[in-house]
Amino acid sequence: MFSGSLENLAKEYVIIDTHLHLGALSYLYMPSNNDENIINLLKKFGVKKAVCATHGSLSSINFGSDELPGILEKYADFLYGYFVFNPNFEESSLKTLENYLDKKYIVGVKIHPSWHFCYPYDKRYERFWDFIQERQVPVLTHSWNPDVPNKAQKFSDPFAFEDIVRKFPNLKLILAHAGGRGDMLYKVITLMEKHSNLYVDFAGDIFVPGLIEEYVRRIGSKRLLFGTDMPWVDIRFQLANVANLEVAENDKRNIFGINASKLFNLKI
Amino acid sequence: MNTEKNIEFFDINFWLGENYISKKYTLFEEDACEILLKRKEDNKINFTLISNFLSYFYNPKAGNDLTSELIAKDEFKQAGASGVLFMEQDFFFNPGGFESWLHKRYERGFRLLKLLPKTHKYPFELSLFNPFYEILNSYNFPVMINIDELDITGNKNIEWDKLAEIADLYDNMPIIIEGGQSKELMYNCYLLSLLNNTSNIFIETHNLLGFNQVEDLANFKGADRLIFGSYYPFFNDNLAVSRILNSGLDIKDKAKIASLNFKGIIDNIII
Repeated sequence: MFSGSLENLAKEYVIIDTHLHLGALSYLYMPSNNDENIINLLKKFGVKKAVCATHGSLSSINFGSDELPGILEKYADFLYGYFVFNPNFEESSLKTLENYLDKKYIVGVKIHPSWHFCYPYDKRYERFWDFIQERQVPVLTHSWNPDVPNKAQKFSDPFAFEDIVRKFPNLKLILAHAGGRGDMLYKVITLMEKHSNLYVDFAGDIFVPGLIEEYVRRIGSKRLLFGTDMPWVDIRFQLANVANLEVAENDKRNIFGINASKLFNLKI
Repeated sequence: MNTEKNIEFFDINFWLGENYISKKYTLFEEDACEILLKRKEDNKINFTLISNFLSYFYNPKAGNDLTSELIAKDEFKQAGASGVLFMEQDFFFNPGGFESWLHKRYERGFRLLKLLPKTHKYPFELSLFNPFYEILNSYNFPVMINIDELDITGNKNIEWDKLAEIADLYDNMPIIIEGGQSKELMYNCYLLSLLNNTSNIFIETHNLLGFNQVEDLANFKGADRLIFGSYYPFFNDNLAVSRILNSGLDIKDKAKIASLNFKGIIDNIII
């Protein structure tokens, strides 16, 4: 059991947060929520690099693409970004994406089928998947169990991606939150056993005892990523969660940061 | 009390017994003391209030009786265990028996009354639960309620205002609210208004998951309003403890949240 100060973890592990959010969101009020406070907390706990998607870019392709460069440039060499693709504005979103993918601070693309109310196999995503396959950039997608009260989660059913990862074997797709709730958290393991181009993070409130150990036991640790979902969930919970895993040290190293450095080609 | 290693915890949200839905979330009575002692050793969780799944799933009275038996045992006493009462529905039929029942249960080591209005289908509103609130208030006896229990419709329409009314009228009765597995304690301003407009509402900490939420709430109305709970076995107690110890609060505030606030509440019970 890890019982020391979480600030000491950085002495033993390279920590890369692959899933956080910056910026305001209409219904998410947190008194401390501003970019500087978030980045300072990440640094306080020794995070070496972080990859974020702004709330603004999930809600608006125009505002989001205007906002993103300033934030990433301010925290250059520490903070990297996912560019958000919105299938509801397919043409303009793809065009903007194409421009941004050449920026060195954009290391991935984020999609959020539930936020955008569009299944990943919808026609509006077709050109996106072709484009991504061609550009070979990792994609982070929200994923969740459709069997929950929030009906929009049906758009992010992990199994809705199965045909896509089969069709595009070079695609590297990260299922954020590992399916989110209930038995889906375990069904995702089966999906990952079948498809080696799938990755997961456990960002958010995915604190099921023994879950990550089960992933490591069945598929190994090389496709598991550390993500916080800040500011939705405080990094201190996530650090303690991984630090307390009953897995080999090497597996913890992979999860905390080694896997992310390889996947996103981040120098550490 | 000058180092964090000396901070001891009082866990007010610990579940024991058979959870028939999930073996993973089951803690059989015969294994409980070992777990409680390990938590003492690992995390200095020196005191624990036991909630019994039997009360939740089967029958509040049967669960209360079983908890009463358990906490009377020496091994449970050594493990720092005391009990959580669950409201027994008989008292809606015979309200007159509530006061002597509370006395007896208190003498047996129960220190908190948990209300389950939604799950066990009884009212918690001021107008219908008032005979019991009167008695609880006169004894300064604390009650606890999971925020999901106030979501009567299932549409996340939490009846925050009713909670505020109860707290206002019965201001000697500490009301501790917890988030269970829901996110409803996390991303809203109701909580801030609730703390701002009452003096006897407290928040259990295990799922104050949001960025800096523990610190923000402590800085808003004082660390006095936060009380540690682990929500074991649904939530990892290492995480719950670690979050308090690694908070940006000073050591006195950490100690208050960890155990002193709740000790103060139970020391204030007058029975």
